[in-house]
Amino acid sequence: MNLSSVHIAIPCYEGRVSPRFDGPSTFCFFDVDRNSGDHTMKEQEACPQGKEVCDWLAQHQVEGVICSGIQREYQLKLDRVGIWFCCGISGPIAQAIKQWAQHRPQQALTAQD
Amino acid sequence: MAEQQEMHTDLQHLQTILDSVSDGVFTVDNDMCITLFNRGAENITGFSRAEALGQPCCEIFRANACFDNCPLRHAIANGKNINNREVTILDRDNREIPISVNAAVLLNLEGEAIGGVETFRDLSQLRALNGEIRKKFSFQDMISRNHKMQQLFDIVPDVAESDVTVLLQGESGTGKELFARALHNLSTRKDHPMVVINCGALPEQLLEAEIFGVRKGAYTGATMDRQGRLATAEGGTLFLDEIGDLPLSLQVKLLRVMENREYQPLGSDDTKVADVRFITATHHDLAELVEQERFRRDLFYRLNIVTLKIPSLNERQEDVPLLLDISLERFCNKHGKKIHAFSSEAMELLLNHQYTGNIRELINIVERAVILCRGTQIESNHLPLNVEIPQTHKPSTPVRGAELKQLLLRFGGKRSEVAAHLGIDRTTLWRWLKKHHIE
Repeated sequence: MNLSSVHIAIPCYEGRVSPRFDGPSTFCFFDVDRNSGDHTMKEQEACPQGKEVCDWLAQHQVEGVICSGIQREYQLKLDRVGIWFCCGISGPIAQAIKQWAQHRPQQALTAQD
Repeated sequence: MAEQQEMHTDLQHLQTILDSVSDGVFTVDNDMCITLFNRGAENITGFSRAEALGQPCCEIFRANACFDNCPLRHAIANGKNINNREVTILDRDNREIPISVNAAVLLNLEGEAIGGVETFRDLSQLRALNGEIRKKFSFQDMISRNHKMQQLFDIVPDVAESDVTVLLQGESGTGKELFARALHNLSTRKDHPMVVINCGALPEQLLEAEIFGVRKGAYTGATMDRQGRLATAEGGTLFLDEIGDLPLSLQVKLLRVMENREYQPLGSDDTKVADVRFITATHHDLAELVEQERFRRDLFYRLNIVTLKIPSLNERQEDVPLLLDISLERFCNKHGKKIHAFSSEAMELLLNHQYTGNIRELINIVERAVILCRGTQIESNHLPLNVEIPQTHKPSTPVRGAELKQLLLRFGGKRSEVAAHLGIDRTTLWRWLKKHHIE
């Protein structure tokens, strides 16, 4: 884990947050500075389909996921691999990461919440 | 100005009308952004009208079909209505809600597409009702609405408790082993093993060794003492499948163990005692085999204490839709697919197919289709059936009450669609429903 920044993944389609966590074929990765909230997009990568995506995100050392809709099964799986998620976010990716970086909830969601 | 006011009033009326229906209704423009969202849509999706208006519909509906198989996009692109497509959406609280969708294109006065309209119905309650029906008609690992099967389900617990020998008679693929397992699981022997052997699968000497065990050196290859299935099943149940294929020489030996509980392993002089319950099964008519002197009469009488005749799938066609649904669910779980239904064309093929291989065949057809299907619905091209779909499906005689109920369930209670499916008019359907006292 990088102490100065948070590694975030966002499921995306056409530059927007994908409506479903299980829907997209790509994820955008960002590093968000823990203090300033400054963020940089690191990469955009094609992802595997199905629940393997959670293990894939863990392999990418993702700490948290920002998404719109996410089914219970994926919530639990993310929880199991130690990734928190912040759901109900929609709109352009740039806007979503900017808003999240600005407000940075102290504690993001886990499946138990 | 007056014209504008009039239009405003009309729109208000339209909104009031749309809000008064429980189905969800929304419209989109050509960019697939929501332009109208009624109260039903709010209730089903959990999103308010204010949140939804102006948003891409896929970001509100969050359906599994949004990106690769969107009914509304399809209707707008092709100008053809989409009816009763089942998809699953994620509501605001991330709950998966099954809905049935109808979609149509909206045209302006010049006939150009200016967007589309979608109406949708929450199927959660219908699904829950289906679950209740399943529970009601389930028995152990089996399910049936058929009255003959229900009778069997009714007597199996009593037969299981009695510890008598049971003969299961039925065509291949009808679920004889499931009945055998039910008999074992409901018996006092349930904590001991149930051992299965197929009498038609092995040559005589190997079969004898397999059932009764073998002493070292009894035949070439018998390099050590090995206990048979009879010994493995000690205290439990031995299920002899395809008993009609048991060679005559072994029939004598089996009769002895059934009558005296004594037997000798192959190549041994030691007499052993077996404490097992026998359940046997065959697709043959054993009485006929007795007449042909291919089966011992005394063994037949010994086996024929309680005979359960399992109907073929063609004798219980009312179970086909239920079995299709259950198989679909089972194989979706097994193969990690999200397929929610069969298209009406695929269903038509499956309902008209003669399942000579019984449930085993039906299950295999569904598993194959699930593997091949990339979308959310099984289509006819996923099925290995070469049956032509009848153009008009007009039953010459009224269908049975159970079938009518099944069809009503399948078409969500829409009588016009049931009538269309049967190729009859609504009045005839109404008459049939009345005759069968179906509300």
